[in-house]
Amino acid sequence: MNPLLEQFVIESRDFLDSIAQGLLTLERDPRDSAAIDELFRAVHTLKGNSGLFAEYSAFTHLVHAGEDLLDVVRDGTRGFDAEVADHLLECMDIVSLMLDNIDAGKALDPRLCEAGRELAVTLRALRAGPLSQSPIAADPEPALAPADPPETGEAPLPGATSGMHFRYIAERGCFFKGEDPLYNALQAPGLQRITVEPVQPWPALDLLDPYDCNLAIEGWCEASREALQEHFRYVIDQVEIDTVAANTGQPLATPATGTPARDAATLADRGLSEEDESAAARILRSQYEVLARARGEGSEGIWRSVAMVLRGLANAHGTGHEAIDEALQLSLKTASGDPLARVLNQMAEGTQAPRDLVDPPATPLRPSKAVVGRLVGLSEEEQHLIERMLQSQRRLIESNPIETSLLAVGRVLASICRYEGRPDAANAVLETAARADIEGLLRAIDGWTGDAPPAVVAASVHSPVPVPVATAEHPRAQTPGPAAKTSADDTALRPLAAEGFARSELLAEAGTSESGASKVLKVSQEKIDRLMDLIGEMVVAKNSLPYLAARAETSSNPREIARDIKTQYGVINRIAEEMQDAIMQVRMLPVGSIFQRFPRLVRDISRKLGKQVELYMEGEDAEADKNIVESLADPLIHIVRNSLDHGLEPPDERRAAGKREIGLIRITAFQEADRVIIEIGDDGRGIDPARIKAKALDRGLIDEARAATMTDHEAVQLVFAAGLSTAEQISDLSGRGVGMDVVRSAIERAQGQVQLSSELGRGTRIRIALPLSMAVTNVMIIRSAEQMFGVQMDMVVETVRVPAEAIHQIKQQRTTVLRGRIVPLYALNDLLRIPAQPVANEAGEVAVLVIRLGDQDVGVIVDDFDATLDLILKPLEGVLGELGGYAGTALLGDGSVLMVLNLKELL
Amino acid sequence: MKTVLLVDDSATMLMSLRQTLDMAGFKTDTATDGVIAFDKLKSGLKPDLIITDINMPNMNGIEFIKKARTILRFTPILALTTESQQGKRDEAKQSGATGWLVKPVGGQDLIKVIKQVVPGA
Repeated sequence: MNPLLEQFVIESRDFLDSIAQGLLTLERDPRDSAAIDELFRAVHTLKGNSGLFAEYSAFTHLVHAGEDLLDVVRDGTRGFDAEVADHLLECMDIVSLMLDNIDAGKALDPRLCEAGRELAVTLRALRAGPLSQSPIAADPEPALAPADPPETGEAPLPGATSGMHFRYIAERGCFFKGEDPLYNALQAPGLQRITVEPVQPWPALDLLDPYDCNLAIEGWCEASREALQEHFRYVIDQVEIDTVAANTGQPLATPATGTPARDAATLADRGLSEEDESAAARILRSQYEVLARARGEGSEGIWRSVAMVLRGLANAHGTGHEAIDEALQLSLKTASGDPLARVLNQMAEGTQAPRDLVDPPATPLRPSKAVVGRLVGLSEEEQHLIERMLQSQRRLIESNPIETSLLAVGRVLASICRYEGRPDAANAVLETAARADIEGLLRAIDGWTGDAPPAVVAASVHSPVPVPVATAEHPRAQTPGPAAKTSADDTALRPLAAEGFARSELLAEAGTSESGASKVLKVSQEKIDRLMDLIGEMVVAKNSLPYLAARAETSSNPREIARDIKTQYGVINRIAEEMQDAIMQVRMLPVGSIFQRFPRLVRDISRKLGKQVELYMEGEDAEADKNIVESLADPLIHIVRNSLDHGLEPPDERRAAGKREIGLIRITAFQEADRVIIEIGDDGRGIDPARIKAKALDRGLIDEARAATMTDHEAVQLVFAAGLSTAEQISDLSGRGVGMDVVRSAIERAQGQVQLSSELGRGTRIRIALPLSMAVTNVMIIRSAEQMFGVQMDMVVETVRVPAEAIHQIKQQRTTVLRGRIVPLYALNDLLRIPAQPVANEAGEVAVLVIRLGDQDVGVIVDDFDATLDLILKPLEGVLGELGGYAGTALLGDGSVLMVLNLKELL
Repeated sequence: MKTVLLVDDSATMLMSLRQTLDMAGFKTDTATDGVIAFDKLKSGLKPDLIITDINMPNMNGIEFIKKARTILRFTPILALTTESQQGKRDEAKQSGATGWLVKPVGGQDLIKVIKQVVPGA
């Protein structure tokens, strides 16, 4: 990967982390303006950076939508609520998946891009939230009573008499200058209405250059000429500004063009293909406005244009236009707009609910083209249009069958499918395109032009595409999303879900492949500086060696030389030790780096389960080696999920038990001697020892006798046994108890221990202890049968010499008494099946290494103890990898290999 | 060799600018926010051009431009903006910026602009 892209991925991941945190912070306190600013800046920079890579425009597009939403939150026009948080979090989830694609050196997954596009639409819709003040939405629509059009020429548009009109034809290359003409125009002061039209007629789709700006934007504003000039100062040469005539709402300079009528006519002509089921209502309303302003003599041109629009509308609805033509003739004859207004009324009543006219829908988007298609039925023109689109797609495939153009074709075909109300087929086409299956796409196109369009397409593309299914480890969510979605939210998500590649699925699918370990370490300047200093010292110290060598050649006093060499060794040894320590420090990571994901995890899961949960985290600063911290991530997530899912009760159950409704999860980290301790506690229902015992009996994990003698504490520990699940219902979150035994083995792999204590009705507490560093292991060397072995120091409790007479034989077990406790003894030779007896020292005492196994002390009889050393432990590899009983090997100073025992396994 | 001081809180953006400028034979120095950049100027750095982001932590670009102008009266300063920050461009100009660039900038366009504002580049 090129270094710039690599940098981009790394930095973007950082941004995603801080964005997620920022969102959660805001959710707690929506008025935290510092957090909003910080959040906005992160999203803004993320978007800016992604702009460097044109091939990831889908990425930029999505983040941009998120930024725009945040922008209105920041300036206070929209409140920050759970809906915003949900969607922005989802936005960042998709972005994160895209980053995975980028990181893997792949193109963006088309399904992701599609999901991103859908989400971007939702995000933009959210901008116009409950508090929206955007100029267009705030436009006070004239209250139109369909049965009673305004009688006089009063202009319903407030202040239209002093209005200004601008016509902004952006220069063709403007996109390359970072201009956004529409955005710019929408920001014009006092904007009342706006229309966008192509300057040149749109070319055929396969000839269209989307980077060539072909837009003429017209707007009507209530503002002074100066204000408009000021607003458009950067593009003033591309903008014409003039005043609007008093009664007509038309610009004086260009009386015949740019009227609302024309914009409506175009709409109607397109057969209501606008993404809005109220398009017809909008058109009719615009015609009311036009008619209301032009009722008397001299308005003939306007009446004609209104009639033209109405005819277009009638075409779209498949009704005749005789009535319209008649009304126009009558209007022209009587020099009054009334006949036309009457027809308008009839149309409004007949085709669209009149309510739509009076009361425009609150949400400006939603029902997709498919809905319109079904509502209106496909007119001849539409069919013709679709046919033309299909032809151009076919030409595109034949002329340029590369991956990107196939994807584009797929998208066009899919949108046609959706337009026809066949989302399944749309999916299938997208998949065909994603496979770069040219034949399949051509078949799909033929399917349309043939006799039985839908069947052929569906058959040809429902080929065995492997639908991504989450693996068992992360079972896919059964419900498509959090149950507590608001209704508006619901409608936004439904089309997606219907299309079969719901974003939640994408995310669930990705959850399985998520790679926890990052390849990049962030290190504080201080730690690096210390290393630099030490390296400097080392360079100086090493220079003394050639000098000493030269002296050794000529010197007659080897003793003196030896002494000097030893002194110098001391210096170098000190530096090496310090360097080792410094390097260890570089690898130290605060455990907070994995705590970061918990707020989000807890938020999402608790909402899904309908539980209220408070999360306390403490001690995020405690540091441990990177490998250790990372090995903690999955076990911790599992434990927290367990707590949320099985531990904490739903609010009503908590109330019944006399607890606070809000459950509590507390995660604490701290350092204790050379271990880092992490405790996860909840105040939930706790683990029922009786149930656990019963389950374990049922599963054959323990026998009756054992069950009878088991203490509650011991019984609770059974949750760590493989294949035990107490949850009656398998939930999709923590699954069927595959967890805790996996948790334990993961922690033990990192040479840690996990303990669990639980009190029925009061809660559960899990304590994980891990070494600070795995890189260097402190090993004690022991001898047995004339061989050297290593034992990890952290297992050793003490070393004692036991006189032979103090060893007792109880049944088959040798034991001894140490400080009043009976300690079972095992000979290492027996454990390793070495046919030799332990050797006692002159005084007849045997060496016993006391180690701790869980809660119990065990003695291991060896021949002798030797030094303790810091060693770098390497796992057994290759043929030796199968060998049990050893933790690994290490190289000793003399070059020999030391086998380090894993006594836990041996015992 | 002309020196360009690049100020941006995004390492990616810095890297991208640097790659372009390195190839065009400029010497570059970088800072990740206004405070660091201003410290560099105070400690005697005399760049031939400053390119600064607007939206940065600690000290934003506008403020940095104002402060930089107290030390360097004639050094050209270009503000890095996005298309949605039209208001900021004005603000930057009023604060003393020579001009602005629109992200993403790169390649020949960047060099062309630099040649316009840096004498002898």
